[in-house]
Amino acid sequence: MSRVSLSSASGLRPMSAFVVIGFVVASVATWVAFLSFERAAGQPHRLREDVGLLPAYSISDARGRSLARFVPRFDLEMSPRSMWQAHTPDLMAREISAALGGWRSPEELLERFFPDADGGVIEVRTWDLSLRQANRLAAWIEEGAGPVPLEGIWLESRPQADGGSPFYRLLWQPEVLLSQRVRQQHGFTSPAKWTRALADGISAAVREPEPPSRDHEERTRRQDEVWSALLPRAFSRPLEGLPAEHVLALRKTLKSQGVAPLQMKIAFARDRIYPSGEHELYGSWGFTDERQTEPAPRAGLESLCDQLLEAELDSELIRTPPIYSWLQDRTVRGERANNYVSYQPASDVPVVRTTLDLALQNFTRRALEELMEEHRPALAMAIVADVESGDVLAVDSVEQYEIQPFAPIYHVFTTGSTFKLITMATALEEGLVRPDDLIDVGNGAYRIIYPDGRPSGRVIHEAENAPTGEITAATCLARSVNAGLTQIGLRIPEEVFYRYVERLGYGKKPHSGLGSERAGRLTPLPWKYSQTHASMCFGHEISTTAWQHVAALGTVVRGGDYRPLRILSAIEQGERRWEVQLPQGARIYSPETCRQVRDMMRLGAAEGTGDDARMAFEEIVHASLGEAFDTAQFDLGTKTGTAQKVGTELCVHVELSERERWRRAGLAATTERYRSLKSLPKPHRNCYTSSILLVGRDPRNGRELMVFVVAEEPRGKERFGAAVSGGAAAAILAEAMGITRNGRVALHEVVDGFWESSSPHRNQSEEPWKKAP
Amino acid sequence: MNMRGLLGVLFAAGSLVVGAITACLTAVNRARGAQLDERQHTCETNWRRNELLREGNAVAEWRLLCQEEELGEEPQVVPVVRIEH
Repeated sequence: MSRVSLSSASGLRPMSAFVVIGFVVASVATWVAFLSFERAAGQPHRLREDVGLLPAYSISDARGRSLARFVPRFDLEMSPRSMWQAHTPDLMAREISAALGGWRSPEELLERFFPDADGGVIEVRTWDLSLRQANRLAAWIEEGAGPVPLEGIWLESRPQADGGSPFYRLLWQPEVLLSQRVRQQHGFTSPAKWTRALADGISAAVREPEPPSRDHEERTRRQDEVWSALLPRAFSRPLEGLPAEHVLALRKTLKSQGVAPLQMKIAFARDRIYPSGEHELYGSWGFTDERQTEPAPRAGLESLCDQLLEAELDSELIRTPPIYSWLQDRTVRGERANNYVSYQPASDVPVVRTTLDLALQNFTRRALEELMEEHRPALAMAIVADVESGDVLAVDSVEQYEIQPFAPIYHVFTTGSTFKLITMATALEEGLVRPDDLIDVGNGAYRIIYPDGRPSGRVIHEAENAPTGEITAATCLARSVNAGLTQIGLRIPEEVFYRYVERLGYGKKPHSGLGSERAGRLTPLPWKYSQTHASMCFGHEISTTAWQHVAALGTVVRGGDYRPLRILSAIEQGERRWEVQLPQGARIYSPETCRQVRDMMRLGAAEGTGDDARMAFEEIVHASLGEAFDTAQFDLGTKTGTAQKVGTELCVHVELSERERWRRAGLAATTERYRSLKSLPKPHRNCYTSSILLVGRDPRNGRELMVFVVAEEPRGKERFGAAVSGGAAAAILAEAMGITRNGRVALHEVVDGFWESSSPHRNQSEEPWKKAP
Repeated sequence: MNMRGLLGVLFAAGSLVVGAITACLTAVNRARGAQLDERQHTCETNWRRNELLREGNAVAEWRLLCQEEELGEEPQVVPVVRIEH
């Protein structure tokens, strides 16, 4: 039996061998750990993250139809300096043009790829070359760079500003110098090697007598320096809004040409769009100051939504950008490859839901345009609101002179007779009049009598066909009799009257948040009895914006609670929803007072000044729902207003046309120019503000709606509120109640089984990554 | 060959096999990673493209609702590029 030898082949004892092996293994493990965990080990950090933009918000109407949202945009971003050190411009231009299906020609692309060039030539402004440097460079261009002189690069002299000896500038044509032809003439196949050789040559000529550096890092630094001078622009966006159908093809082209993302890439940008068209009410996104790097909401609904989100829900909303993580890989063969690691989709886009009805908004505009065409006022405005909540369903204006901010919150007008609702409600509330009290309104002219019985010097006149003699207070309002309302209003002590009017928001900016707005004018106390106090009773000497006036009139129609108008109703994000609380109501009038005023408005619609509007509405109802339909179900109420401009007022036509003239002439709207408006002529013979408030109840759901239309200075045959604005108000109310759609019979109610699509619907199959559990 | 020698050879062979498998797995993983990266970009591009098309449809729908234009014969919706897996 032979004995097994325990000696090793190397002569080491077994234990020693184990120690050696153990040491080697431990050393490898330590080195691996060092490389893995220690940043200073110099290992490249290969994990990359593309972080997209934070999701902003969308705006939708009450039915979920999109008012404003972002849509993606594809841009081509590049670093010209980095790109053209490694790629051939003409070749890339041809390839990219082909990938884009000829959307841009190669010539156009070349022009865009060199933003530093002017007519294809770049002047190197970094160096003001001396004669000696210029000579060396010229020699290098002629002989030093290869067998033939270099094409596409030359020197030109430039005179000194102080008249001294001229200096020289290097100029070059990248399309020629970096072309495959010139490169091959000089024996280079690789664009990168060619550009490095060019940089070395230029650097040596410019830096002489400094010797060429043998140090690799220093050489690279000098090459970078030269290319920074040759192509100053390190970033540009040559193409915006690439056609979406060619983006994948372009990606493939860039990949096949070995273009690194830092050289050129398809970037994801976004555009704010308004599917139903841009509108002054919506506002816009843009830059408001120089420090901004990204556009932000400005003015209109955009600004209001932004404030709402920031102020109330910033901590509750989830707002995370999309993050794509990938490993930047370079295999042994040198090919670039990105390895997918993870993708975290962006959080759901918050949607701010407005109270607007987009279809109604559109129809309102059309109705106003028709009013403009027929009656030719300086401007026409309309607001449609839900009586109970004060939610605005539509608000718009059409102007003959498009020069002012959004008119319903900015344009101030004299309220006229629609203000009589306030006068009557206040007197009823204070117990100073009852609906059936008889009032002697005279015979078309009423002289104001002081409380002590003395006659004043002021006589109040009536419109045509006004009732005469003794009539009830209710008839005074229904027939809009100035003398009646003056007598009723003068019974209210001025400080009491003022307090009511002030609490209704007159004379104060409503802070709608929609942009530039004005406060209107509420004459401060004390009022002269026969002047301001008397004028206030029938809506003169008080001016307001449509926004304020509708909120105040809504108080009476609603039942006495003052509530500012509301235009935003909720915020939604995915499954979550936050309601925008209704503004707290402030009790101004009792329900009984408002019921009595509402009865008078019914009388106004039935046989008063608003009967034109009622008949127009009934005509629409009969045309749409049949002659037999009982129109009394709509419970209409009206109050019209026709205010003639007083001598001191400026005509809106005159003012706006003058301001438009400034704009056309490029003149700034200075305080002096505004003062000069007062000296303009005031041809007041035909200057009226014609308005109407039309209220109705939808019999299907009991919802009450109010429509307020005002036309400033109509120049047609008509001037009275109902005749000018009544038709538009009736058509808008019918549309708001769904009796018509776009002014025609609402087809969706006629054809069973069809309804509007909800365009914001999102198909999950297009976002497969979101389906992963 | 004694037992220790055999173990040594087996260990060496095992190491080679593990190394080879690891290299293969790495290569497959890399290829898969690159493929996933490609698909990610394709998906995202298509998603953005579809968003644009959807918006185009919303605008067209709106115009039709408002009677601003008549419905054309050409379809408003461009077919979506489907990804084959």
